[in-house]
Amino acid sequence: MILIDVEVYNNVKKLYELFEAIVDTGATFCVMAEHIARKMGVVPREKEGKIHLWQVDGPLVLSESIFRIRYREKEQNVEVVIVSLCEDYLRLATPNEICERPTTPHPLTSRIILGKSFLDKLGEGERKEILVSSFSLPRFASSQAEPE
Amino acid sequence: MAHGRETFNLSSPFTATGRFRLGLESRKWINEHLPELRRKYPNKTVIVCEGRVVRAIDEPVDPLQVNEVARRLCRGRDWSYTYVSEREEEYIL
Repeated sequence: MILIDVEVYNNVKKLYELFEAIVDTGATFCVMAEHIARKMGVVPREKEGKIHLWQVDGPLVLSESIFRIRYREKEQNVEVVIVSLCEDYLRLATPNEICERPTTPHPLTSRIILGKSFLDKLGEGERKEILVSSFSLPRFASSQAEPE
Repeated sequence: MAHGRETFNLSSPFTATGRFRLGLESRKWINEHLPELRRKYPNKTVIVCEGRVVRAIDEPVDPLQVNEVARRLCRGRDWSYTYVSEREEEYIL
């Protein structure tokens, strides 16, 4: 998993907010959870209607919008999709839920996904740095030496 | 707030117009120290500032709340945050 930081403009507070972001080279769009988008005043583009995407086991129908994202020095308007999450997925699983869902909260509880709509706006050097450099996380804690 | 285009220089924590780049060093620190963070702060949201954890919150938190706390604790300094899941990578397709 590749985690980076980007700043996303909050239309309500009129300032940039820092977001931890999962870089997903297999995603066409950036993704934000609806409960966060609402607080940031992100308005779905209703004119174009919903966008229809494939996910693993079926279609996913989402609202489209535009974020103003700042990465390092550069500001970009980036196409995003807004996904509504079940409120129960925003927390750890309880014992009776295990086997029905992953134990961990949904990754979009506290993050956004950065897909191709963001990566395509970067220069080659920036893209390479994100995909190849130290921003990549060690995969599992148990297989890594611990820092001093 | 400056919205203009600024010079790109990866080696400096500051932009050409003097704005501090958020999350540059702290993100690097988080990614390098993730195994240790997983051991010390499992399933907590941590805010990191200048190479140390300045706040650990007992649950995953809305990033907007994190930003409010971090702006107060780390004013003018580089900071970042992460939700330290014990085993998250195993659960993402």
